[in-house]
Amino acid sequence: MVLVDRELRDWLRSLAVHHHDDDAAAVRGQLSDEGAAYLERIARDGTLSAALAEIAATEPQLAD
Amino acid sequence: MILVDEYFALPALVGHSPAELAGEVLALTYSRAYRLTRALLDPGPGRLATRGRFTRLVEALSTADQLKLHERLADPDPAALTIVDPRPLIRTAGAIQNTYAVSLLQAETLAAAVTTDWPIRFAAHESAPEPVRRAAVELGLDLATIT
Repeated sequence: MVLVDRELRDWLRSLAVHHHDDDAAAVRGQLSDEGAAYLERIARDGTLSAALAEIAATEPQLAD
Repeated sequence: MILVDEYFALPALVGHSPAELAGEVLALTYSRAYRLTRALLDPGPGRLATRGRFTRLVEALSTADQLKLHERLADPDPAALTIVDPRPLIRTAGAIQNTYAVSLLQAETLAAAVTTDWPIRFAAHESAPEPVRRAAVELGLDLATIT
């Protein structure tokens, strides 16, 4: 018998996007300047590239 | 509208559109949005916590910024970044994969360009390996890499 992992299931359900959800709109905001700059940097300095390559290494359909 | 790779999309997602594409609305295919989300998603509770191989990328962000990034990944501001609906592209992407030695991710990007006539602009050379460049030439697509 397999026990249902309710915590995992609830978390996965919470990730689903419900468009036009007022609660989601309420939390949408600007990242801090530091946060945005960090994401901009990792997008261009090879950090993100390495992570995407790691995904692609095991999932060829997601490879560049 | 311009189709882009994840390296252009991530800054655009947080309001920092690349200078090279200023004033343009960027578009990201579903599979690229999926891969980017995989790379940045919080690992979550329980069993998934042990699978968060990529969370190191966002550990430098504050908790508040991680929450905002999470929301933007799930539901981008359409004025900055559009996620392309994959459904109309299924047959085209399938035919492209039957014709060229490309991945699903690459085929979907090429299919979106064929279908919409939008140009493709990549920020990394690895986004456009030889089979993708060859397909773009043979299909008459406007593909360029801007580094």
